[in-house]
Amino acid sequence: MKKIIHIAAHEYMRNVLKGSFILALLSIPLMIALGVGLALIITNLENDSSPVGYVDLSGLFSNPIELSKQDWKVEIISYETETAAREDLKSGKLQAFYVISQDYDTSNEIHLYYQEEPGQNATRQFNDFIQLNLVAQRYPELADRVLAGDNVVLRSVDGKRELPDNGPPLNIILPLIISFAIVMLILMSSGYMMHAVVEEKENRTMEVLITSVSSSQLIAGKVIGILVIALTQLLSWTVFGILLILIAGKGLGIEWFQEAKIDWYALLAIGLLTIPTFITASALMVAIGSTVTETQEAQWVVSIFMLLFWLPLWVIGMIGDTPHAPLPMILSFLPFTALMTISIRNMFVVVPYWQIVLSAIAQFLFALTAIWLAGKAFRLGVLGYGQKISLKAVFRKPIEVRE
Amino acid sequence: MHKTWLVFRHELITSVTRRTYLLLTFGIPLLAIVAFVVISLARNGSTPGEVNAIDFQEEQEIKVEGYIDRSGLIEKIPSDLTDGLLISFDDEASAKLALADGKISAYYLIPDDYIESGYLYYVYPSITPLSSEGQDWVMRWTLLVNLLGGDQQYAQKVWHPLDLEVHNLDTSAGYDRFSEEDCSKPGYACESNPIVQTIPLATIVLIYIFIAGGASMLLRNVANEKQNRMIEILITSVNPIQMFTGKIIGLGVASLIPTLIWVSTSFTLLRVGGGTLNLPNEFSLPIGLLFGWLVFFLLGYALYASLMAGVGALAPNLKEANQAVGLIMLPMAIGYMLSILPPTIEVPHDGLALVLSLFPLTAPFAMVMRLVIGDVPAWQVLLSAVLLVLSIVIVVRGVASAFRAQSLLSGQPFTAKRFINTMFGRV
Repeated sequence: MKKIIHIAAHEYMRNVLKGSFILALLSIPLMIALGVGLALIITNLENDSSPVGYVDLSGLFSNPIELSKQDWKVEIISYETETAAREDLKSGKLQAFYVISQDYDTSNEIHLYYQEEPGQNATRQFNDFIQLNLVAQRYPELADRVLAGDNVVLRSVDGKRELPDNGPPLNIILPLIISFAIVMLILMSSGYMMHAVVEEKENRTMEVLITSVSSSQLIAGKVIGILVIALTQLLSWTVFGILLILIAGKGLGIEWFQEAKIDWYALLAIGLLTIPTFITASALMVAIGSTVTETQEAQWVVSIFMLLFWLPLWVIGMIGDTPHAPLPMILSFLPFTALMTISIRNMFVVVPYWQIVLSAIAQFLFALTAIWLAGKAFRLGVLGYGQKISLKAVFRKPIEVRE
Repeated sequence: MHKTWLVFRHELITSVTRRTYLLLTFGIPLLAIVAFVVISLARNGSTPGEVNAIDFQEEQEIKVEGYIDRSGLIEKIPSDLTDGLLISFDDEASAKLALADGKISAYYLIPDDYIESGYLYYVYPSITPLSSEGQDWVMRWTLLVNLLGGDQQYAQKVWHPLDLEVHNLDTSAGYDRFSEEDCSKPGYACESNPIVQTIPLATIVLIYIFIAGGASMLLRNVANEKQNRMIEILITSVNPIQMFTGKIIGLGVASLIPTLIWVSTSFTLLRVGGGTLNLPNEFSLPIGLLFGWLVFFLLGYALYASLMAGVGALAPNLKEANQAVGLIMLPMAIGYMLSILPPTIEVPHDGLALVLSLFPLTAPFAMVMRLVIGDVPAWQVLLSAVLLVLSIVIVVRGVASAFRAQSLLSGQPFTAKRFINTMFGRV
């Protein structure tokens, strides 16, 4: 036991103190920050808050109702003549101006003048300004209702899932984000696992190690060490996630973050599937690490695993459209794809509990098979240094030595 | 010269005879050609009239839906909606039954506080926000008509209040969202055709893949030979500079072959396959574009591959080389990311796009994107190429100093400081 703890502590310290670990730890927060930052930059580039003008030749908007300044930041200025508006446009005071034609009542015709494309917020706001005034002329009590538009909420037939039309709320996509983070974690940890085996084979430390510890102690120590690394990462990401929700929701008052509720059913499904998936991935990485001779060679195989893990994300549209179709069902039971597929399906429908339990059982069976395979491959790999171990050799019955 | 030739030949032959290389070079373009031929044959089998008729019908198809109006607002169904398109139900249970029987495709639930809250529940068998199958506009239109007292003409005005006539007073301005569609050349100005619209983006992705792939190949090659100590044997008979030259040209040609095959296949398919790919009749790609693409690919490759070779020469093994590669990949990734941003692609001849296409580290991506869209002033193309060549000269001189026996044979760890010092000849 002492040896196992010693190996685990060595494995943990060796990886955690590396710069690449810190980078991996920060990768998810950085990716989120980068995504949010880019989205904000693009939105800001598309918007322009300088004033727009209008010349009303129709006389319909001579006493306009102003839009609420709280929601609409672009000032809308009325001009008597087109010449005055044109001068202000040229001097840069206005980003654009509109001329409401004389026969607007019958034709809807409005002319837009600009020198540089006006901001999307400005054109949207002018559209709302006209809409508000049109409704207010006849039904002032309904103006706000029409302007605000409908809040269409998509509801599943069983009534268990609701999605507003302006995008899924945080509580719906939270399980997907968690699965995404877990898949990243599994991939990183199994990468560490494989490197731990291949590197020591490559530089022949393995030959020295195996003289003082048994192969099962070595593997157990490594698995525990890497499991603790994974838990360290998970803990850091969870703390980051909670901080983000608290700062954005309570500190900055962003409504979307205030709706963060935990869907315990979806979370339980993730929990059930994560453990066997983690074991399967780590064990298979040990098997691969034992059968190949060089790190670079192993990376090729790892990329295939990565493709499998991300496969459900590529077909997310199809899974969302038909969550009970054969392909999503098959992906829900296959190793590596099950975790992500069930999380995606849970966004749109409530996946029946029997499917989750059945998938978890299947994943545990895959995990047991992978451990058996890893054990065999590792024993063969340690003995056959410098040789590629074929799959056939792994499955071959060991030769019994007769005394 | 003979030794450089030997290194070049060896690198070229070992690269181009790998199975993955052959698959990448010929497999994917072949797949594209096969797909193209299959689509062409399928199209020839059906008359255009038939295809159009089905498309039209599919576009126009509006499904029968139900509604439960708890607000009591709906008194009439707008006359422009076909009779029987919206079926009223007294309660949700009967609507659910009709949905299960397939009599309706979805139903709406209008709550009694609709006017205050604006909530409209759309019960739809597949509730994915990614699907565009929903037709909730039918109910939103019906509710608006009823809110506005049933006056359909007035509701139409409120629904669509602006019939815009746009006047851009700056006559030299390029494409914007109010401009008329222009499908004669690739770019965002062709809104009706996603293929024509995404060609500039695809070009950046392609050039990025090939430059990054070619440069990484050189890095792996140098680092691998250092790791398995082959370099120690090579250095006894080849001068480091001869080795560097042979490698960079050999792997450059190896990268150029798939690039040429991919680009010329795409170019040919786009030029000859207008009908099959549903390209607009006025769409054309100038042949000179291929030349521009080639020049900027070669310059971009030379710059990044030299930098990568420098990393490979200074890193003691492949693992450290892989970790250090971020130093080179970072400006490349930034150049790529900035070039694919909408403000760059949508305004290709001004501001950020102009700066990116002149700055040597981002020029191969941004300038190629601009060349594809067209109308780039000749002086800008020339200036960009000259700046790239100057940068290559500076980098190659730096890398040449890294390709010395003491660097190649040393086991010193790689540091960014050492790399920069070597590049500027301060070692």
